[in-house]
Amino acid sequence: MTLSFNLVPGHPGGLWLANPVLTASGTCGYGVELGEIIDIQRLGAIVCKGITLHPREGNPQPRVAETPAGLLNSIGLQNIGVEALIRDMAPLWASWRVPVIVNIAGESAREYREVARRLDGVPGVAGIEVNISCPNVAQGGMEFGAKPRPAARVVAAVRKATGLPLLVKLTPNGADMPAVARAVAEAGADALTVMNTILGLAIDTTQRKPFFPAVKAGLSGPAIKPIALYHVYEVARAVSVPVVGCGGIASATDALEFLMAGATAVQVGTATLVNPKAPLEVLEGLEAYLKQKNIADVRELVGAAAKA
Amino acid sequence: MEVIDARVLSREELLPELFFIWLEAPTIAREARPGQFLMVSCGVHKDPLLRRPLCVSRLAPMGNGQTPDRLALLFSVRGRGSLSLGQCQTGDCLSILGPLGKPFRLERASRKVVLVAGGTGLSPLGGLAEEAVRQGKEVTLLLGVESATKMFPPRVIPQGVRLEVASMDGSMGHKGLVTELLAAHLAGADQCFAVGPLGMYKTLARIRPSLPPVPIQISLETRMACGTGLCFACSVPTRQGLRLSCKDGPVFALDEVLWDRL
Repeated sequence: MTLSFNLVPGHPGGLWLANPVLTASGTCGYGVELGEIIDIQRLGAIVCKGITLHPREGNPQPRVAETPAGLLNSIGLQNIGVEALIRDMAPLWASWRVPVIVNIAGESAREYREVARRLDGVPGVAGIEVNISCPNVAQGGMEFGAKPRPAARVVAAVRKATGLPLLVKLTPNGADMPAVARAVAEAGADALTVMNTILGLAIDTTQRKPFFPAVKAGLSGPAIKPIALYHVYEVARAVSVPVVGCGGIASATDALEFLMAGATAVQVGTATLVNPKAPLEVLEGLEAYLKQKNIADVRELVGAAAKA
Repeated sequence: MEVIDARVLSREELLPELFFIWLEAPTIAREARPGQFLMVSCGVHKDPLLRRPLCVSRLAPMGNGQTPDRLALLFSVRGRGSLSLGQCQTGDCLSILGPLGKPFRLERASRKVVLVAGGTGLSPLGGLAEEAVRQGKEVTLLLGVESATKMFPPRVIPQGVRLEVASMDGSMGHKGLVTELLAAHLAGADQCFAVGPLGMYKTLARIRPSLPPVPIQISLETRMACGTGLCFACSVPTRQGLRLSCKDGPVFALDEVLWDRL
């Protein structure tokens, strides 16, 4: 039974993962935090918290609210900055078996490029996930990801700055996702993560004002799974680069749905916040399914429901 | 830290919407210290989705042993999660994750400690009081309640402490805020521990300059999603920069937190 695969077949060096179960950015800290709770070395890859050129404090409290089967967050990219990441985190990652992909964000194409340039060649950094889809920052983030041209501009800038495998994390908000996907694939993306959170709002009825100081927030969790699944299906048909499914995946059955819709891998996110063992349980469930159905290679499932 | 299914040994509704629940949780109870918390699952079928942070209120052995293997939760209904949790029955299993966070730092050398509980702030302080009494310390518990009708029954008041009550309507003990009792009791104390709502901490921070310079620890739970340091939701502004309530706290020094930013 084969679970391992090359996440980025179009990249000269490739990036071989032991299995298709990854963590989603923002739900495993810098990997170290989740590593204190579960055996993360068994996972396909860790995608760490979004990082920017300079440290960011993020948004004021409150930062999360629960919704029916979902979670609204307005963290605002609190992070230690790329220099501290290279100094304090990368050396730890270099000793790990599981590859670490660094999620990067910025307020300008130049900032994305600069973060990518600094990460290039750093031992312990296996790849970059370009976050053009964060809804919780005043500038940059999602506004790059909503239209094909700005999205491609950021990805092209990052592509020039690094030879690392590049994933690009897309937004469902206000975007023609297949069009953005084609543009960023052409600009040098090796794979696409579909998708980031969906814009949402909560109102504090006692105070008659938005619940979050930053007003808008990103919705994640089981509530958004069918939407993410639909976008994976559409994007996977539009581009030839691999698609990594992300959005509400909490079980092996969820993961199977994403694989069959056309994803070559999945990211487990909000589920990990509820149950830290969730990524391992998804992996174990996937293994059990392959064994039970006598499937030799997990890649046989990819796009199985999208071929018609 | 572990995720386990803990069996409900007993469940009492002490007052309307105030619950006291004992759980069988040997692996967690023997690791847990007063001040630490658990993330407790309160939903079925992913709703409510998130676990709820609840302090470990008491630790005790099931039989005659010395090692704690059961633990108690003391909480009032604040929303859908706690409402649903309160409906559990003896014999049910609750998925709990813990122990989490940093415990209270009770110094061996402290002889006299003062505990200040605002309402269900009594929860973690109950366990701390028992620990302090066991260590032979002189313990004063200042307890603030809405009114005499909201007073906790004697069996959840830790034994061996000197108890002073304040009620908002004056129906029991001092009339007014529990923090108003502090000035009279803090002199001569080695340590103080306060747990209550955010407003109580802000009051403490404001009256701090007029109080004897006794170190005060508080337990602050900003709104959490994971409770395990993964999501960065529960940030706390401190003099040393942003900290996480779940990992760096929930116990902080009162003077360390930047209260005007919360």
